[in-house]
Amino acid sequence: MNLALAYPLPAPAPAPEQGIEIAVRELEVSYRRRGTVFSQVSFEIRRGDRVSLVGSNGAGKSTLLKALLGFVAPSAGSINVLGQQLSVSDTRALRELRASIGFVAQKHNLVPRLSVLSNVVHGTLGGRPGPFRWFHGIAPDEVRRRALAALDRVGLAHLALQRADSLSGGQSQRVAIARALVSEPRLILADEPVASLDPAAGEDVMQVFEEVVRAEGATLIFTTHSLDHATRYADRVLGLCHGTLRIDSASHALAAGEIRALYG
Amino acid sequence: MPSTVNSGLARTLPSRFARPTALAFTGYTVGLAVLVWAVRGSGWSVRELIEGMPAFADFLSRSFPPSLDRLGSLTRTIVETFQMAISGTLTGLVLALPLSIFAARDLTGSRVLGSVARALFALFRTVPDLVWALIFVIIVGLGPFAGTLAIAVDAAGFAGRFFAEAMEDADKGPADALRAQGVRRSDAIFCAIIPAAMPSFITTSLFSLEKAVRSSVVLGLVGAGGIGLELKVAMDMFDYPTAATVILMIFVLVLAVERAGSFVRKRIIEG
Repeated sequence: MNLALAYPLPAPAPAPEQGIEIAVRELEVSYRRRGTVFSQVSFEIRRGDRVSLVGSNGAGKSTLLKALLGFVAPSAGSINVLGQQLSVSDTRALRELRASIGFVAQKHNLVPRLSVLSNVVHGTLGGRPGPFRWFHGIAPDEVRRRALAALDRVGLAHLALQRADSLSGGQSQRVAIARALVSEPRLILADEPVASLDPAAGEDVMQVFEEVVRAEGATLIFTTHSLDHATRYADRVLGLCHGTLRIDSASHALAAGEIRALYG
Repeated sequence: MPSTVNSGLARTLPSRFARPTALAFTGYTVGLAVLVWAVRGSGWSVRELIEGMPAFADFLSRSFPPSLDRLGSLTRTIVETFQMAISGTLTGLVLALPLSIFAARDLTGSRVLGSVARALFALFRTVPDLVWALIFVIIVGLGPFAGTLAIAVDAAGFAGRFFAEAMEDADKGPADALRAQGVRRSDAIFCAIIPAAMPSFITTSLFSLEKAVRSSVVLGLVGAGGIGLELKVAMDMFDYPTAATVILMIFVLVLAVERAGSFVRKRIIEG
């Protein structure tokens, strides 16, 4: 019996063209209890793009980022990140892929009792695992130098030896950015990176983020509820609403009303 | 529209305690019955306690002043007791830490190893240290090493359970953030989970040491080293002044370790 005929396999997703960092095709994510979060989501992101992802609470912004990191298995469709077709079952390949991605969460998620420098050194563990990167005190000089340079880029090199729990919210988020950048990732994902900060600190962090990402030439995708941030710090806006991708537009061509309509 | 609402509910005060359900009432009754049963079965007698007071007064009068004749040898023994407590606790903690990583739920992802680690901790804890001492006396013979091993097993059971719970309760955010950057699960545990649980680890370790010092005193009763044997011999020989000296030495040692432990804990918690 010809099994290939009896059980036809889905055709493999075509490889994205040169310069495409992320290719999402006909993506659907469903949870058993919550039902379908979104479906038929397709987009491509080119190297060096800065993309904001907007939508109301529950629209699926964070789920989409999790799917890009391989933490959520798609119910349908395909995701290609940095030239690699994502498969949540291949944990080793996923770990290697994540090591090429910088991630900044809404909460800084620093280890509170360790020094700022140790927290940034942890950002290098994805590329090279092992105990010599658990604390800056036992890390090789080259790693310590890179971590200090990353801290310098976010303007906090002078706080390298302070404990992370002694920092303000804005400073902590900058350290989280340094931790994401220390491995020199090609792609940076940020899930509402300034949501927990006051407006001034949030503005400050977004500026640092933009400057550093631009200087590194990395691709950036961030989720936000700030319409101002969504258009000012991104070249392109993706908008999720009622389980579909409603907006995919250059930020300069987008009227504020179009984004507000997502929250209606 | 009025800004306040007067529903009339404020006129009668609610009852202070909720009326128990039939199931809760049955539970209280059974609990009380068990208490009465336990008190009667354990030979509780206030009369015997009062009648024994003259004997206690006689013991106190014959104990004082404490004898200083064997102060040198007793000091060596109490130092040995303390050494047993320290080395036994340290051995137990070294055993507890790796096992507790497996025992903590949802940390390593290995259910089999987790079940094995938790079963070992349960075994270490449920068998009393005096029984462990008897077992180790059979294995390694009489002396402080048997006591040290008994303390180690007891400390591993005690500390391991609390280590695992501290890691389960630790904020998983930092570890998740590292995992999102491709950091291995084991590295994330050592970088993020263990540092977060460290204050609890240190507090538990100090409690283990205090517990071990108290345990090491009685382990001598079964020949597992320490000052307990001296106390037993003194009591059996009715040498109450020497027994008083031993009891005072134990009191000073336990108090000193507890005070030092409190000081260190306070310093650590205050950062």
